[in-house]
Amino acid sequence: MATEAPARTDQKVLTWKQDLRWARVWDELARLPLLPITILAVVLLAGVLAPVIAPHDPADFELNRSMMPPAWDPKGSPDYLLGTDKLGRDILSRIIWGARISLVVGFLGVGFAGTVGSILGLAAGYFGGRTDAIIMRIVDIKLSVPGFLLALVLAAVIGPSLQTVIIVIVVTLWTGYARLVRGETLSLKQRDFVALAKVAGCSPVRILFKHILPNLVNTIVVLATIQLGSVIIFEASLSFLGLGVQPPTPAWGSMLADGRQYVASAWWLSVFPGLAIMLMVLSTNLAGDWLRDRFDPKRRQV
Amino acid sequence: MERYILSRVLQGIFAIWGVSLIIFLAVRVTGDAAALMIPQDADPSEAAFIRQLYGLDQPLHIQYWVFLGNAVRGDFGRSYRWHDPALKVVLDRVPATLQLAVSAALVSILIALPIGVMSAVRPGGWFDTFGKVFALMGQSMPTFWVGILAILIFSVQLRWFPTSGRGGLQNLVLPAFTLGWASTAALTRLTRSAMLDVMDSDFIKMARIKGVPERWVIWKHALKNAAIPVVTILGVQWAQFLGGSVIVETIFAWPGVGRTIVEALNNRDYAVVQAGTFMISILFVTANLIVDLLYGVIDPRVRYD
Amino acid sequence: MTEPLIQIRDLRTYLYTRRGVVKAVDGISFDIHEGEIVGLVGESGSGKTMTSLSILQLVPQPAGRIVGGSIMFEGEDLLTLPESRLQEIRGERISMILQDPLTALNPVYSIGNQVAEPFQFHPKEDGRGATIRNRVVEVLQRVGIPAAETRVKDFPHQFSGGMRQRVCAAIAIAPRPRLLIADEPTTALDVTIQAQFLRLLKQLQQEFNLAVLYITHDLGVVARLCNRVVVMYAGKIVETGDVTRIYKQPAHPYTQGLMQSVPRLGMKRERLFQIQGQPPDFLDLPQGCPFWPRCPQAQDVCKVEEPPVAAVGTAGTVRCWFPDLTGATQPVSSAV
Repeated sequence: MATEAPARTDQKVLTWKQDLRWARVWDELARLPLLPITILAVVLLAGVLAPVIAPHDPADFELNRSMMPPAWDPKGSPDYLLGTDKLGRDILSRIIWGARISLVVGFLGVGFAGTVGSILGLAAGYFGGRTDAIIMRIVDIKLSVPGFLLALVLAAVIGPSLQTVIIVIVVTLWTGYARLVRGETLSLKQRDFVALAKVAGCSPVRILFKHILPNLVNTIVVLATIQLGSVIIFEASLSFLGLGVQPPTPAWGSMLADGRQYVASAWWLSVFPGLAIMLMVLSTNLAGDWLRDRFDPKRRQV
Repeated sequence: MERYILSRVLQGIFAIWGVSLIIFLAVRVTGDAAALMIPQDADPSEAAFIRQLYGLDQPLHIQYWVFLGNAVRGDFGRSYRWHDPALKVVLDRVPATLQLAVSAALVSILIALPIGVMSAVRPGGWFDTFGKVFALMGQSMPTFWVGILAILIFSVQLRWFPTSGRGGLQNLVLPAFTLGWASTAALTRLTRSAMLDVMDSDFIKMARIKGVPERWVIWKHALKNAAIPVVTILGVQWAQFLGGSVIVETIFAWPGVGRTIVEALNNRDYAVVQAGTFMISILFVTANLIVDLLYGVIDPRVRYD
Repeated sequence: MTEPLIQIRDLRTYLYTRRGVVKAVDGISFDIHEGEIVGLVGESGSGKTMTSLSILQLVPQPAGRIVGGSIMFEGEDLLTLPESRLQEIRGERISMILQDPLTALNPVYSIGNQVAEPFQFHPKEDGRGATIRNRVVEVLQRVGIPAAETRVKDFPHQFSGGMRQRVCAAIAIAPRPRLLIADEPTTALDVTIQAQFLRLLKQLQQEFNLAVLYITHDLGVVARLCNRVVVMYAGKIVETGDVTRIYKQPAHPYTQGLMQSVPRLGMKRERLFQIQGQPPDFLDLPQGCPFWPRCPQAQDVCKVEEPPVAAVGTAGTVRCWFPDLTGATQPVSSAV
């Protein structure tokens, strides 16, 4: 109430923006999160072009050059920019190849979890009744146990591998989408256009996918982007505990696990892979925040 | 009130049952559990003996009934590695895990509340910028990396704290900070935004109109209101503390339930895995119930019925 | 005439927003005498609330700033006082009732706790040595809270809107202030509750000989309650005067418009008058008189130059090029 006057200012901003569409487009461009986009692009390129740009074969071991420090250290070599590990493998090359694992696990994990969770959420919200009760009970159970622990046990039991990691991520993360989509579906199905579609004789499947889902895409994509970072950490944590991607495939988490024993003598073994994870996750988090503010302002608090 | 607690306890029991079922099925269905336990060079008669010993020759639903009946009586089978009942192995390690998780929770609350409040009091100020950077870093650094860095800096370089083991306060500092790190970041941001919302409200203006000193306005009137969403998130963060304890206990060789589960997984000591996940689920459900009740203490509008 | 309780002179409060400077209060001057009820009238967004917050120096931070003027209160210029002295004055010498009783009370503390605060922070002996608790109960009884003795332990959500506003009134009068600012205290209440609350306010005012600044857009309330009226438009005072004179003979076209938009008893069946156009945009005020785009009597001069202030009636003023002075008892004396 003290801000009666500023309230009017907002109106002014609105008309001003409508008048100047181009200024608005320019505004958006200027506010694009450049740093995170750059980092993501670099990681993406590294992942896709790993065979081309990696200076060495990530699996090429040579005990003679074991534990070489980074290039700027007097004992380092310019050939091995970030040093070598216990087996003499090039850290930089392994980080570049490791980006592949993070990207594959990140995108596939989030993609499948989003698909499974969204479909179940749509079904629960639209059909209600017993379908809803069963699905939401499972969600409740899932939420009553620390997800990481369950994932750990599942990964160990199924047998650790890349596929296992993705399966475990889907099992852990689908509930978030299911809850979100269910809630939105509940409110969307009350809307007139859904009633109209029903009157027009559309099948439930058609209504769900043609009329309700398109309204939810923004929300789902925003959640997926925000989760990308935690999925990457998730994978790295599993690999760190030896329950993720198995050696000799280079993954950031398992590189850290290897380096952990030598933290006192060879810090570069654990610092660089960790830095890679942090930068990657930081940029997906920033990009996610930006997308959320841009496309889904009502969920800013989540 | 009693009815509310009862219904929540029933919900919790249901959830724990669900979890035990999932794990039971995961262990028995996804592979031959006996094959995992039996040494590869064992001869068939030995294998059959072990199968019979653990009841693995029975049909699945019979196995489940046996498992459930035993579990209700607290019998999760014997750990063949520790040669003790699995539940005892786990129970012995609960205090260590609880100590770690509670310390981590305290660490994150004690750091997050003041920083969050100060950030909100002067948005865009020095404290706020620091808090923002800190929160972004916190959410982007995986726990195990934080732990390794902490060891690298504070144990190896500065020699302030030991690298591993459980003992005095000295041993607790690094694990507790590591485990609390990510939550601290999240809580800081949440406290800030909750405080910003509250500071805008009429009752804060009213307190100032009364001539109440600003310090009192912030730490009495605003903070208790801002604490409501913060406490809610603490319930969620508790999952982080328990889940994260698996990693932190492994890094710092902390003799808790989490590390024991990881070891048991590596040794295929499934009795311990089952007892351990069961235990962690109980801790989790209980903590969430406590958070729910705490709610009522902070917010007089909450009614439990 | 005695010295006024509060003298506001050329007060300017600006809001520095991203899109420009909003002159929410732009050079206003008026007095309030002891025991007098002054109505501050205007459309929402005319600067009334900013005026009251400026008196207490609680304009929203960091956007708002008082950039000029003086507020003399009991021999001190409030605008030059340090925060510590202001905290002594707030609540004890000047207090305020906010518009919405639903949000004005802290939901997580008991009523007693909140009513006790003025006593805690302004420990003034009332000569009877009564405990804070007793004084809290007493003041709650005074504003008509039934069973005050037991209800002090209750929380705001356990009270109705009208009762909560009474609690706010109790907080406001608790330390016996000299000036009470009431910012549309009845807008959020039901009509029947409104009348009760106004009666209570009037009683309290008489009992404590309070000076009241009553902010409202409801001219009906002003007529019943106030002695004098100050009309604001776009951050400026356009007319002041005695309540009877303003009702009978409003001099400013804006005031006239406001008067004609009030339904009255015995009115012929006709459409209520409505002031044309939109409330002014603070970031884009017209040149000259800010009211001219909506003024039925606007002439060329109004669009170019700011109007002068003229005296009207007893101690009244009007800011207009062509005021209606038929009700004036004094000849026009132009003072720009």
